[in-house]
Amino acid sequence: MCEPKHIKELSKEERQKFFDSFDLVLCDCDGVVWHPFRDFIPGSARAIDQLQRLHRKKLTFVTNNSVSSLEEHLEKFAKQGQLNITKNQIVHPAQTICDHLKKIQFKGLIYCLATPPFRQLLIEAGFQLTQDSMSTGAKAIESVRDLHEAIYGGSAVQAVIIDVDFNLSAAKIMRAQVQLQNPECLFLAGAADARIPFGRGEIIGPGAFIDLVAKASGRQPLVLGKPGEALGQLMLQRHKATPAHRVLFVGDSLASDIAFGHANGYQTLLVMTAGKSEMEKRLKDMAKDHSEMPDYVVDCLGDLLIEQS
Amino acid sequence: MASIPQPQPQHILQLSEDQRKRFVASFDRVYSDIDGVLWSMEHNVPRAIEGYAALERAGKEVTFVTNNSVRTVDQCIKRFGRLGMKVAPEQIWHPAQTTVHYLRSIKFEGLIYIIATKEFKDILRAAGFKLLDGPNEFIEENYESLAKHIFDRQPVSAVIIDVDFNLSSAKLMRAHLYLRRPECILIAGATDRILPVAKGVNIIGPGMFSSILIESSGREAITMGKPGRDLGDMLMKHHRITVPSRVLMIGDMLAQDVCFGRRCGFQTLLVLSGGCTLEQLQSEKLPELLPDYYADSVADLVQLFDGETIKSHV
Repeated sequence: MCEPKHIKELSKEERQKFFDSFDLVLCDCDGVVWHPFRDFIPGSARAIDQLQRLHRKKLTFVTNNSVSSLEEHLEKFAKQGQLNITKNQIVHPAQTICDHLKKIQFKGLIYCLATPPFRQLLIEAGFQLTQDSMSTGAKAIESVRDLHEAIYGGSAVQAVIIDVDFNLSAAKIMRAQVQLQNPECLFLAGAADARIPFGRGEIIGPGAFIDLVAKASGRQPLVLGKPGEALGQLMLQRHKATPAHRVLFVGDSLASDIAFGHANGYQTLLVMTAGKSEMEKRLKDMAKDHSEMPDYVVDCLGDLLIEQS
Repeated sequence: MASIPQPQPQHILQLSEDQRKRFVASFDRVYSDIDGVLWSMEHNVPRAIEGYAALERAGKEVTFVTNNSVRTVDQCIKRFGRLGMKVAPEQIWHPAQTTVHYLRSIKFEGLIYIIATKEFKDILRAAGFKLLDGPNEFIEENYESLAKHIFDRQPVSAVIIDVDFNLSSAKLMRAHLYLRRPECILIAGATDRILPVAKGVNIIGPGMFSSILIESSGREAITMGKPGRDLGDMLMKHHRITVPSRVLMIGDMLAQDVCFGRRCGFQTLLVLSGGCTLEQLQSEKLPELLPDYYADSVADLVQLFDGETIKSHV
């Protein structure tokens, strides 16, 4: 049998062995449960229901999507999937960062490069964000003087946070880098995907820009989204009772889901919802021991369904 | 196996008379950087033009090779003029111009997506190339809106990236999508990773942004700024240089000027009047970034050619 194993090609015994090999499922949402920002992928709601109720697996959803709030995620599970998912079953970068700031009793001004819902969550939790990290009303930079003003003009901050910012600019990146020259200034990151599956291919993800700031400032961020090491440790604390090899990580991104899963010692399952043929080609060209090589693949979560008589 | 230690860079005013004579006779042509060598931002380097006058008197051909396309050749010539120096347009090379040269050399006729300043784009347009750029407007904060701004079906066959004060993640994403077409080439202008814009003020240079494109697309960039070997090949062809060691590269940046000179087989002279301090030079470990010679500024060339080595100079 070729690597990785396709769940649909497993024999009945192998399938049983597979389901017996894990207790906890950590599952991505966009591109796995539902089409990114759209409808549920057919079969995924039933597969999740079976995992929870038939196979008695614990389920936690680990998303990098803070464009939608935690509440919107819950509502989507309930309305579109008829699934009863609770708040503590969702791990979301805005939430993990907010929890972290509370834990360390952070006080100070934050330069936050993220979407409005992400910023809103921090503001509602009582944190103070600079206005200049917003992009609305930002003027085009015409000269070195304008650039200088954009980089050095604002107040000093005590934390820099980077997640998805649709209007991320060179000037914002440089302002972040300058603030990080202060060793007391915290550096936190959420979603750190180097690439994001998008349409039938991939686009450059926020991880590439976080990495740029890290290199330019000589600082390493605490990454509380996938594929961050700090998120891995957070998962470990949350699920102390489950040994890593009894965890199955399910996702559609090789870099953010599969490599993250392997780095934490989990089993990994790749969902090939978008661009299946391209993905199969990539897997075929990949070395067997590559960090992005999944243990198992499915076309969609529905492939996990067991027909009940 | 122990590696052979590279000779340490020598100050041009601390050479023995013998070394001095050999050095001044060892090159016919000079490629010189501008920013940090003649001036930095608003400040002129004292007596720099006298250094170039000395080169000229000694019969050395001087060409200026800058990574700065933000100002035009005209503006540059005017500033030289204000210093009392007469420089011809063909003596100045910058990435916008070298990019035009390169595109013509490969008979490029296609659509270009460009991330650069207005000045850079103007030069390409004036040369007859068709350019796409942007997005420059605010992007609604959702993926649908992002998709509208970065997915484009037009047959772009070259992506060009240089300095852009309004560079954004969306522009890089759009560029990356064009580079999925196998026939689309990637051209980088200036690739400085750090840009000194004022004393003690360093900003992130275009090289760190073009790295994102290179890594995400898995492509090599054709580099038309220093330290690009492609630029060196073009200059050497243009000036019909057959013995690269008879060229002296003068500049203030280790990663651009010295690295460029060494890659091309030129001799290299670092001046400490710009983006590199003596301390930085002395702590540099990479052999490919170590110059053959250094000087406080190009003004030291006056004494070099006069033959008066001042022993007390440090």
